Amino acid sequence: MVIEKSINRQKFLAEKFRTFYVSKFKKECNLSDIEYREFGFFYWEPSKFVRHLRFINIENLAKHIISKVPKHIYSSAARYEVPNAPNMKLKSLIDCELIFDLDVDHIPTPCKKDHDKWVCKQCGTTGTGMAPKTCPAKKCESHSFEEMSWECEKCMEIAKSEIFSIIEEFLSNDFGLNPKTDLFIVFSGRRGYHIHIENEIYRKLDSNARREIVDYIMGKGLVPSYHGFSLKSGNKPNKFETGWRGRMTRFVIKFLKESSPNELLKILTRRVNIINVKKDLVAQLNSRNPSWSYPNIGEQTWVNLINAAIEKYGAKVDQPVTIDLHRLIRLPGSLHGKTGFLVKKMSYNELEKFDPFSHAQVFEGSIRIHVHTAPQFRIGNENFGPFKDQKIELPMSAAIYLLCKGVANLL
Amino acid sequence: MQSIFVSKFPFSKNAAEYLQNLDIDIRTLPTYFPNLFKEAFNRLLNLMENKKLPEKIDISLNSPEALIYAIMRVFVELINEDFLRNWFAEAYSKRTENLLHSESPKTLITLASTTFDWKIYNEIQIAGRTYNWKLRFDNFLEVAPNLMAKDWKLVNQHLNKGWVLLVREKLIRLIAEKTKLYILNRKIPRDEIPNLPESYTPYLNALQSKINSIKKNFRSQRIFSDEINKNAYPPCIQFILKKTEKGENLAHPERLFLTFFLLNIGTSIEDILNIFKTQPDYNEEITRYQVEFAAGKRGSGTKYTSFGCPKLISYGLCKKELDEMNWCITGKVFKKVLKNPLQYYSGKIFLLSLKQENKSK
Repeated sequence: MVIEKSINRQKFLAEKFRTFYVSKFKKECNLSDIEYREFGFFYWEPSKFVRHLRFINIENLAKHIISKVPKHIYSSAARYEVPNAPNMKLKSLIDCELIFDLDVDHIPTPCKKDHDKWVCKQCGTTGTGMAPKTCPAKKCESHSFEEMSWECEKCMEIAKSEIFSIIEEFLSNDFGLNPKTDLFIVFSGRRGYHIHIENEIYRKLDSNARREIVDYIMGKGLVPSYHGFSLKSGNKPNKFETGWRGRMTRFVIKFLKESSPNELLKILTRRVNIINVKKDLVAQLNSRNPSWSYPNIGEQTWVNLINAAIEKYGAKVDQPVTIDLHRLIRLPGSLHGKTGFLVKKMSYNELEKFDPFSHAQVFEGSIRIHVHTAPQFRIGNENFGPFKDQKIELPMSAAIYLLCKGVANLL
Repeated sequence: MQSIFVSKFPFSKNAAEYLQNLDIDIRTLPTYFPNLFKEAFNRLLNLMENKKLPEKIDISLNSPEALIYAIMRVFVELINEDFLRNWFAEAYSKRTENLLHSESPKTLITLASTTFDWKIYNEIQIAGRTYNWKLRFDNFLEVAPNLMAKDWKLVNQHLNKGWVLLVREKLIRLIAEKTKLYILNRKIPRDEIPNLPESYTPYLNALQSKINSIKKNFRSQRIFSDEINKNAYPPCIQFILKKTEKGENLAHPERLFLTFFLLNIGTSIEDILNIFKTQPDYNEEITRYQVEFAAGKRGSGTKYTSFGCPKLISYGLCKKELDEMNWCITGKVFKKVLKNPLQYYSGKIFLLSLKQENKSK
């Protein structure tokens, strides 16, 4: 009975996805150089992943998608001479867009404890918020969890502001890219965004160079002394400077302002009055020539403070996505099989006003479904739920969202 | 007539143009330039002995440096042996680095922009700090990741609007490293080398026999006598060992990692020293001291464990894509989280021993 319901649900979703692909895919896709890209598909039934496929144009690609209606669709960020060759060497890489993948899953947003849950696959221990690295149950030590997460407006706003920060702080200020002409953004269809840089210089970068760039924006491997910080330095960094010199100082100021006394006490010595120190250090670091010195705070403590601030405010992107030249990434214009949301391509100018809960919704009409459980969520201008074992008529996009998430069934 | 620049930097584009204008047929080199031909041959022999070029450079108007370099290149191509090619490139890179310390900014700019197509500026000032130079970040990244040191990471540079701000010493190091890569990447296609006259043969034979004796010596001293050990190395170690076989210069973290790993699996100090003998800058005394230090036989007596996987990833030394066992990709060895290449090694030793036991049964 359960299997039957699941098959019905899949068939229904595939049919709805097909309707979308027939009418709107070609308009939404907007992918350059299709004939040089590798494509990969994850099918509903049988549930399998197939890659190393090539299509010579958008018509052929659309034809395949409409006939097979995959659950997830991916294309390569790279261009190849032979995209359908079975291994990377034979594909013969031409070049590859530089991509940053930012997913809320990697950001510890405060609201996660309200909408995300995890279950340890080994011992069954449950919890809310982000899954821990190791199961907290005694003697379990498992690293494997089943996670149930929800797309939340607050989380998506945080993701968007992170994307703005990466583009403006790093790509524009430090790398000199023009956000309006050198890059575009893609909403992933679920909990994040991708930044694609198409600029020729970036496309040619090898994996090592990409690792350096992603480490740069994450602040990974930063050594404060190489940016002028040491108690003896005659040229200490200040917040008005460009690059990591200024950013490092601004991050420390922000960290001091936003951290609780307990958090700060973990780094600063207990011999100082934390309230006074916080105030004094912020005032000092806000000046043009901060001395980076304070009674009872030694060089190593400063370094720990800088590192904690970078850890907290450095970009939280998925590093392997940027480094891997052969990575497949969600195809703009496709639908995300776990939400039914559109994977939406947009320019930098469009990002500000983009609302995934409105602008990535593509289905019309309504349907009555059985919702097992769901927290409150918004689609368009309307809020729905929370639901607990309810039969209800919902707008099609909201119903498909719940069906894709596996928390509802057709009636 | 050639410029001093061409004599000093005979691998440069300016030198290539100069040679092109001379319009010399390489088949006639032994006849028309027998001395230069012998000098090029001797330099290569010398490179194989002590990995150094002569210190004195002829910068006279009729300097033969560019021609000698060109003949050496032809020999290197014909011999087609990775470690000779690496030693050759490394030697000219070192020489370039030494020379540049006393060269004018104009020379640095000419070499970097004309030969490497780098975008580079001198005498700039940003936010009150005076840097001598600025270089485009993509040019910086062509080279800096190879240096594998924290002070060469992009995150530890002052980057502004796509320019990396540099002091002169760092720029010279980058140009030297780029010189090496440039020479290594400029292979002469075999079909562009014409059939050479017999006068080449004795020289080529002599070089080849010298190479064979080096290789034989090198191989006999390798630690790979035990087949199980050889096959049990994780891909990151195999990758570095292959580099040593080709005579490629290892970056500092690669040397440390290789030494720590091999010491931890019980390799003797002598065997480790033999591996480093192919390094272009090999110095037995210094290397012995360093390896003995790592083994805890000098200094404070601390014995070092191998680098862990996260550290290898951060240095770009993780080669999980080359792992045929799939352990590095899944991050697990027999259900245990893979944190250190030593785990990989013990897991593989265990598997290979089982296989061998089964075979002998």
